[in-house]
Amino acid sequence: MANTTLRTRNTIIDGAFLLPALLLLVVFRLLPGMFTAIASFTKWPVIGSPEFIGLANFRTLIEDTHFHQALFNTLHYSAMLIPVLVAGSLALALFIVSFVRAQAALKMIHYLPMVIPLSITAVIWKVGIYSPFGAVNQILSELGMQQIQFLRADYARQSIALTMVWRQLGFWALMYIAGLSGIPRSFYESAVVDGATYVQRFFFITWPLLKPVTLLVTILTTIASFRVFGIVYAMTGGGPSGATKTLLYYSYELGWQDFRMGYGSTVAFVFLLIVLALNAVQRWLIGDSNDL
Amino acid sequence: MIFRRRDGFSHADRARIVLAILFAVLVFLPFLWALRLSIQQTHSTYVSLLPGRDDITIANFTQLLTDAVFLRWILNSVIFATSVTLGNIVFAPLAGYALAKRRLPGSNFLFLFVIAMWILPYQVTLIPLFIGLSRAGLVNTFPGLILPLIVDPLAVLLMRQFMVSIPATYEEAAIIDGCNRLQSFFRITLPMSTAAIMVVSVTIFMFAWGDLILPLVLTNSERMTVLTVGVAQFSFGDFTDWGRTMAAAIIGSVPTILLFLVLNKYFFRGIVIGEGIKG
Repeated sequence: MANTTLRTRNTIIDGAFLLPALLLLVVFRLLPGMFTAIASFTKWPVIGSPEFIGLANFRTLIEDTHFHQALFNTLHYSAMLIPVLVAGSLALALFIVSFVRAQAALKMIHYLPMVIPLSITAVIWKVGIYSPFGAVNQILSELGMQQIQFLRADYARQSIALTMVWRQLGFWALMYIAGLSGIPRSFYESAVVDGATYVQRFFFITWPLLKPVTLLVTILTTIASFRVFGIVYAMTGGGPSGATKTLLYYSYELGWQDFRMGYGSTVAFVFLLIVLALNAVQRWLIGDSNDL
Repeated sequence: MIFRRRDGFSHADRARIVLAILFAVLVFLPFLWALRLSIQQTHSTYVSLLPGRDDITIANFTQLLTDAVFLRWILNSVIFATSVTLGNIVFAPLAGYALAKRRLPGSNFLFLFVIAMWILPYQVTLIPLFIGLSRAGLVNTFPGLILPLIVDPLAVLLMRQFMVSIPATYEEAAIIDGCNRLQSFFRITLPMSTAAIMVVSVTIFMFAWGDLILPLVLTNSERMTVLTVGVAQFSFGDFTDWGRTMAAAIIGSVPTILLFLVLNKYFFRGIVIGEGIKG
């Protein structure tokens, strides 16, 4: 009897603890998210109510060259960012842990770019590096060489990707360092006793044991590369002529510049489906562990 | 010579040190150039590598820090980021505790629900969120800006992850000593979770201070502009006042850089706790 009342009291306390957070998540995440899915089947000018038009938006999507371009650009960002971030952050992590006394300082230095707000990073790079008065172009001028227009159509995506790499490389390297610290020293010690070279130790110990971290970093950088928005907004505004526009940016443009809420939702919904698919791939690869 | 001097470096060591310095220079280069641009007033498209002695000035900074509009942006960002952080500090430990204890009916489902909300990119909720908030008259207000972020699923998951690792024996001992459930939470579990609460605070503050898309779509008045939106719009247009823009960018980065320098261990611990959340 006493046990039952205790259990009831625990349930009441836990319920009261969880309820506010749960309600806020339902109101501000779940319902708007579901509404985006529904709105993607409607025509919805900003003044007036949504009108159900079936799959018409998805048909528009298939023929929409702006959508094709945004999808292509998004995939291009991923293709540039994922290999560079994964391989680069692993290399940087191995480099950083090779230092003993300077390790803490190096970790801080390489994490620092991540600390600066993304849109401010974009402005610093746009003006401080890529513009005619940026560091690179001023050095080129001093040397009497021609300036580079980093943000013109055929370089703009690469320039944005470079800034993303500068910002994120150290962060993912720290992820790898956390993973490296989980490998027992004795593995390396016995490998050294057996005469293994550095390269052999990497391929037979480090690489296989870091596989879970590599998968995690790969998936998280993939999702991050799909979510590119702020840097595009601050650096190029999607231009020149749509060269840097991503899916997310296109959805924003449709909703807040063209006021096509229904079609904007369709693009956001497709973006959501891609992110969910990537998550499913991640679960399948890493294994669905219930310990979170 | 077999033994190296204690402070002696081999050639390989030297190469590594040179490389480390080179990498550090690459990381710092954009800051350094931003700093260099910010201490000179804009007067031409040609910028010498170092400003002449007469050109060095802090006028860009003093002008910004006495400009009511710019100060308003800072104030807005401070209100926005601290309110979102405080909200998460209140709600996330409570929710994380309830999820960690698994005593609620359907607790597995509730946990999966929070993970699902974490996976759901909040950027896809923006159109309905904007419509809903504008119907409620909350566009261009602080409540409208703060409420959507006041419970971040990641904060709840981080707290839950940490609290799962606290052995139940601590609370049991407290209850034997005469605490009730509420007291055992507030006197034992919560104080033991200070490190995790710090991780949540710095993570959420950094995120909110740097957030662009939410303030961008949920506010459109001069009075409600936050720093990230304002500084981004500084560099729009054909003419860029590079001195002022860089000064504004530096001022906008100072709060999070200071936070990082003082509390960096919580940033790193966040990565370790976060690595466990494979969702």
